[in-house]
Amino acid sequence: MKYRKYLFGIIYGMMLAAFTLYVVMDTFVITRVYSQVEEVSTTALKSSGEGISSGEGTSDEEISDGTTSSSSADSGEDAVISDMSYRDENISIVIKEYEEYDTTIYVADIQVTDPEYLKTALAENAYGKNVTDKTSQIAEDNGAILAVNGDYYGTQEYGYVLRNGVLYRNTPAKGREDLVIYDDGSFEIIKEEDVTAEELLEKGAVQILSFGPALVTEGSISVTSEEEVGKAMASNPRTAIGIIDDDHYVFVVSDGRTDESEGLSLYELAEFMESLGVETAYNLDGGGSSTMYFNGEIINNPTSGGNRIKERSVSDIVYIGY
Amino acid sequence: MPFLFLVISKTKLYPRTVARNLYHGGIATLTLGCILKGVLEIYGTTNALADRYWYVGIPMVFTAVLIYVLQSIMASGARKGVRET
Repeated sequence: MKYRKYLFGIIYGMMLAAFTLYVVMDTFVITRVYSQVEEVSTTALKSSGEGISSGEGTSDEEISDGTTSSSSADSGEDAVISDMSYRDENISIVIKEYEEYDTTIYVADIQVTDPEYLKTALAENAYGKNVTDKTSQIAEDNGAILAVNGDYYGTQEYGYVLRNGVLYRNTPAKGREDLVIYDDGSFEIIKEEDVTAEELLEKGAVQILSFGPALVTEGSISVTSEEEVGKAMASNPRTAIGIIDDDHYVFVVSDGRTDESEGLSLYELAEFMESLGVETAYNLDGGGSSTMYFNGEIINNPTSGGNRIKERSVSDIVYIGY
Repeated sequence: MPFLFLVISKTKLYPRTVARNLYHGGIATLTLGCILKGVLEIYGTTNALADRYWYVGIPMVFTAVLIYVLQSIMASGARKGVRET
């Protein structure tokens, strides 16, 4: 009977523990789908890679060797594909590796005839919480030729989410800088507190990425050495996207957190983007999320802790495809 | 820690059970809330549910202190033989 003294404590303690467990589950585990993406484009079952055929598979960066690869990407007619490049009448992609700041950096140089080939996709084609999938899987599901991870909107409760012209979330996150991609393919950096998502939509925005910060604006670095994303370590794998000029983009992914590649700080990333000659550059989700997918393969070495090379499941991607 | 104050002030008045329970419960709630928010922040996410810790914890602590204060007022009133109005 002397336990009666502790009855309140025990019961309240249990309630507190149960509630805490629920909050943790709700944040990290419980999947909630708020809406499904409407299918407007064809599926990945469309015929792939029937351009020029040859006996063998891979070659190096020689485009003249013209090989096909068994990719699930939708290709245009006469697509010329190699390990590190892709060219058809609408899209040209060249991937180069750089070694700078003790890190391997992969740069995909993209030229398109029309900005409609620059798109985004959501995991499992659904907008919600804890709805995630590997970058490579999302890319395959959408017939992407080249893809990088997006802004991982799924971990945030606030921040504009506008994908392929559909607005999913219009609640602003304080102090967040976004990248807006308009239907003419131009980039703009905005602060969410300055403008509403609906206003951007009316101006012709088709994509809004909400992570940040902006790395390069109007050709010069716009991030200070002190800025860091959350409480992350300074040198990290990074993903960034930039525009050099009309219909000419770059997707940049760096390795990091390994012995071979230390990783980049935001300022180093901005310096690198500037050296590529970008007009505007924007930082996307880095760390274990950083992934570059090209033609069925993962180009970089994604890792969360540095001890295992493994893709992380993310909530969205940015890609080039039909 | 407030118990330290009690010892220093040499009060003979130990808070009654209700006040103690509320107080301990409130502090536990606030502590757990702080830890959880810290974990979420390091991970880089937020959850509106986590704010409930403040809504529950702060009133609990406040009520506990209030009860104790009332208790000590009533006790000192009885000692002096004056009835509380």
